[in-house]
Amino acid sequence: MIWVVFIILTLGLISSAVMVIYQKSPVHSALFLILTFLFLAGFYLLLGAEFVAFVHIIVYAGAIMVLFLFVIMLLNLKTDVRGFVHGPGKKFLALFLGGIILFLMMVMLLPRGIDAVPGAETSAKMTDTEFRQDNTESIGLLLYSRYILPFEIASILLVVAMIGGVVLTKKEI
Amino acid sequence: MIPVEFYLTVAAILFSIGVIGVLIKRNALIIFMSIEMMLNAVNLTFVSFSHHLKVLDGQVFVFFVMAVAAAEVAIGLAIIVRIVRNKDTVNVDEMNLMKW
Repeated sequence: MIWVVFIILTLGLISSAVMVIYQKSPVHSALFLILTFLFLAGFYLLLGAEFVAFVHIIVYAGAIMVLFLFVIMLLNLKTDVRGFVHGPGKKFLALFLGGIILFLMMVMLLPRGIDAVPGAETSAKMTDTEFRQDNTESIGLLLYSRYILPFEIASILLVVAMIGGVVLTKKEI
Repeated sequence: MIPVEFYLTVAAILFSIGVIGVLIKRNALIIFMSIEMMLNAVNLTFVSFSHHLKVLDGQVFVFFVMAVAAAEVAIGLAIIVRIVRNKDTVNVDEMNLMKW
């Protein structure tokens, strides 16, 4: 049963990801990317990470892609930039490089087996939170105890990004 | 129970589709969307390893990747808006002011 769900999610994810780069209009690409994010949230639910799945939908599909769509529709473009790169053999070169990257990742993955990951046991002993009943409470415990410094730095990063966004779009600085 | 290699394979395929999207498209906005797709493939890798190794650090890192991606999208879109205001195109072939 879980395999059926996995296969459906995989096929949906790969096909909507390919449709993102295959569409001519950027609005259609953005909509297919939202669909990709929804399939990815399904993967997170399959992996037992429901808090990550919901935050993923809220942040990515609900905020970031809406921002993308705002910008795409505000930049009402006159020139026609739909389409792939021009030039002899450039499309084939891009597909070949993508295939090489995929091959390199699979080469690292398949023959060695995944339990040869170094440092797995030590990392499991070092964490000081148990798996509680819900994902949210467990992540919250970990985020506020061991990862409090990256948490605060992430908030500073968001403030800097806000200031940067305002400064970059002003007419006179 | 699905072994972790299957999730990692899916993440690798999604990542390489993102790489192909960055290399093959001329619209700066779609290139940016492919970068977001690559970040999401890495997120899937993190969560699948967190599920496999029974630790939660992977999911916490996904949190931070999402925060960084949100900040990056805000700044990147501001830059693209600025460039379009100057040159009136999103074709990356024409953004060549820094070339020799």
